[in-house]
Amino acid sequence: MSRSTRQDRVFYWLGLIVIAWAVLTFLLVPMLAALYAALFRHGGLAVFEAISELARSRRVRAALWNTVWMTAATTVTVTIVGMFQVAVLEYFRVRGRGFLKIAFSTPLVFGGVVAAAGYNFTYGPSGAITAALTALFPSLPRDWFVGWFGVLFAHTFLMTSFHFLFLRAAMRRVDYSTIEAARSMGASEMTILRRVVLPVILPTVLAVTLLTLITAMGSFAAPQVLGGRDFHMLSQMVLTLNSLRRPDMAALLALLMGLVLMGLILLSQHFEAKGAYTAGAKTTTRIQLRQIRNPLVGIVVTALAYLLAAIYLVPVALMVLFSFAPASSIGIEVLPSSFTLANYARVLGGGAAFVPFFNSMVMSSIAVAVGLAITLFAVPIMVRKRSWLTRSLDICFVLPWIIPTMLLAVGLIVAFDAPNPLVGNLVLLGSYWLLPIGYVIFSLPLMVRFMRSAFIGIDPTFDEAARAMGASGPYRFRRVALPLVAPTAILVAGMKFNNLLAEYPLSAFLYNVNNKPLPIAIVDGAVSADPDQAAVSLVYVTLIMAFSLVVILIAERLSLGRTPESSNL
Amino acid sequence: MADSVLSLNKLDVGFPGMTVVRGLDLDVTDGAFVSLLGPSGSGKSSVLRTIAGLLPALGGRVLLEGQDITALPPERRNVGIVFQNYALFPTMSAFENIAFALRVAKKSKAEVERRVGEVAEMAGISDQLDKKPANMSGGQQQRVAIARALVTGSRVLLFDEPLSNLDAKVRASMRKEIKRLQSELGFTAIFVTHDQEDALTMSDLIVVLNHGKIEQIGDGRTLYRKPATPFICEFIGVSNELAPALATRLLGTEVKGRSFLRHEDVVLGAAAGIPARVNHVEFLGAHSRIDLEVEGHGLSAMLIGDQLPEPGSTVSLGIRPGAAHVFPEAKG
Repeated sequence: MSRSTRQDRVFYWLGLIVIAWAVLTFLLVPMLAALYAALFRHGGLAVFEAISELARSRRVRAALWNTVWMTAATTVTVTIVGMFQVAVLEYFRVRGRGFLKIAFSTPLVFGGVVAAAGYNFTYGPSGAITAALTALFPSLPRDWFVGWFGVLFAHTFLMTSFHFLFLRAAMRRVDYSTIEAARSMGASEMTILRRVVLPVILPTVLAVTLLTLITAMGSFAAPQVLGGRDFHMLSQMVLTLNSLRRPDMAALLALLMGLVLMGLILLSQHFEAKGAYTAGAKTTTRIQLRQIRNPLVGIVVTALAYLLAAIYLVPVALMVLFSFAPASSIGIEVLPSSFTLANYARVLGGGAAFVPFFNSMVMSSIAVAVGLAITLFAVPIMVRKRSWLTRSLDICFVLPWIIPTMLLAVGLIVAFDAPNPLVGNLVLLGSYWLLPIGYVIFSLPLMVRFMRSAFIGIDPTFDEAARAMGASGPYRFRRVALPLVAPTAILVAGMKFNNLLAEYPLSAFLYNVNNKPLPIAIVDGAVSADPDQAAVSLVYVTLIMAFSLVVILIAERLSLGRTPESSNL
Repeated sequence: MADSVLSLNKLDVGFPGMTVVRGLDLDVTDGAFVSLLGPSGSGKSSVLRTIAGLLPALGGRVLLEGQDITALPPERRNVGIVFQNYALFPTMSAFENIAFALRVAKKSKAEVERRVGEVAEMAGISDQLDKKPANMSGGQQQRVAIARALVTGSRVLLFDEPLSNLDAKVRASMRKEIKRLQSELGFTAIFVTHDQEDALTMSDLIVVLNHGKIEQIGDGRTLYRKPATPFICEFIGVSNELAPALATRLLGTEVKGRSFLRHEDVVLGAAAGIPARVNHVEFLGAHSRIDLEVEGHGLSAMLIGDQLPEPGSTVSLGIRPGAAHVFPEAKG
């Protein structure tokens, strides 16, 4: 064995050992710690005790009830809005389809904590719409939007991205010739919809409904910002229990929610698998938009479509506009009368407002860089060599997808709130590092999934050609494989960076004074009555949206499309 | 053989637990063009991959210029490969593709430029070196692939069905191109193909493989005129298999076993022929195909020219003397 091959082997095994340690320390141990905290007390199984203790709490019971009905209501309203969008974009002929498509796609950029803050800013006590409404109806309380109504409203319009992405795609898979065949056999429009179109898209409808249900159940930022003092959901309860120094209760609640969610995820995958209708036809004809026959219905549908577009675009437009307005105009003016760059100067100028921005930039960069390093090292090995080791790594990497973020967060807290031998007896809780570590773990599933398909997509003859020309393994990786997967790596890094800038659940659990990140500052600003804080929040949010847009445009150029794996509202 | 540049010595080819080709012996002389011809699944590509080292040999030896390379990994063999899809690195320019092996060997900048320049000149792509593969035509890509395989001074080039995805016209010009480069540059070519035309037009020697066994080794004419097995008869050219009774009648002697007659060796309007009914006439351009029925047996003939019999008419059928290939029972 030559010296260089020996060096390669040392590097290889060292890398694997480091990754195995990281997975054990920051994923498996925290998961077990969370399970232990949830199920055991004083060394004995105490799960029923704990559950009854949870059940005795009036606030937990209220939050449970709120979560149940809010989830059910959201599922209904989102399905209505989402189906309507798909009908308008992909089935009926409605004027201005391009414009509507842009409007309906805003939840892709405008989600989670950003959107919650945006809705609060538009409809909340210091919102422009509220300013307009109170001018018209002086008796309207300024907090008319805050509470369950605000949460349901936000859910209804912000959780349609699954419909926008998946149900539209399903609709486009409907073979138009089957519709024409049905018509030639005398079927009415309704019969065609019911008997021909619906059965093809039904599995996707079910899968999308379940995804909505899952998202609504775990909703966090929306009730936190828009729920006010009286409307709480379970995610918030987990955070409250944790801050009340009851991590055991927090872990138990997160675990129970997690079990329900996992069941739903499995169910949705079942439907998704059934959704693969590949019809008998070799060449399918793309669906053609249908003219609405009844002119009155046509007008109503068009009007509703544009109203919906306005609901999507107004908050975004107002936020961007007011980020350039003097802080004093916020909550007073409906449209800003003067413009300034002062808010941007405050955020980017390096003062107190700069700190959360800087923290998030640094922590997200670290997390993306570490995540990418792990992925680029481990994925080619997992793709090439199938052994128990690579298989278990594979499973570990996608675990954070299935496990609720909050459970992972509580796990990290209980695993590192005391000296831990796995990290040299350091106490990580309260240090700078626990949050970026959480970010890395949280980033891995998406990175692994994308990079895996990138590596699998490489034509194996490239590697063989390079071998035949004398190139060693690391050389082939560097000169041949890496340039081929680079576009995907850049894209996935951008997407994840973007997600992390606005990541709320993990941040809420793991941040401390040393590393207060952007999403926490946005929520603080959104619920604060201080217009200066609100102005700074608007700048944060505008910057995040701008960055999202850039990433999406890059993705379009690389023609990879964007799949939000979760929207943590 | 003294001047053999590549020798396969009782080579077993395949995958652990599944030998595809067993005990292959082959000597390739320097500068020869050898085709491995066979239907898919015959093991021809596996043989090529074993020569390249991409597939470990299960037994036997591979000798390159007298040196045993059986145990060497592909990166230390110095055989050039031209892949089916050329496998040009899409992220690199033509120059960098060709320079790849030289850069791996850490050659000086000046040497890299000189050698890439030389081989590009020979391949006729000097003005294409800045282009990415995606911006080149199929012919140019093929030249880059060949230049890349030759740049380190490999004397042996392995071609893994490089023409198989092309339409007939392009295919014909690519064949000429490969043949021209080979005769100008003088490398030894091992060419894997399932297409008999590829093999017949380019090769000095054709190795026909079927189910992992060598059916016959020879030049194109030999294979066509003196097929060693029924498989060769059916695989190369188009033949009628004659039923024993019909063969006996046509040849005038007792025939046992299998016998074949090429379409062009059927003679219509023969002096002392057997009456045959014309069932169907297919005009194919340069030639036509006539389907006949003779004493209850089907038979096809090839005719050149426009003097074609009418369907339904009866013609007198004979065969070109000595043209039938008869394989006694044991060989079939």
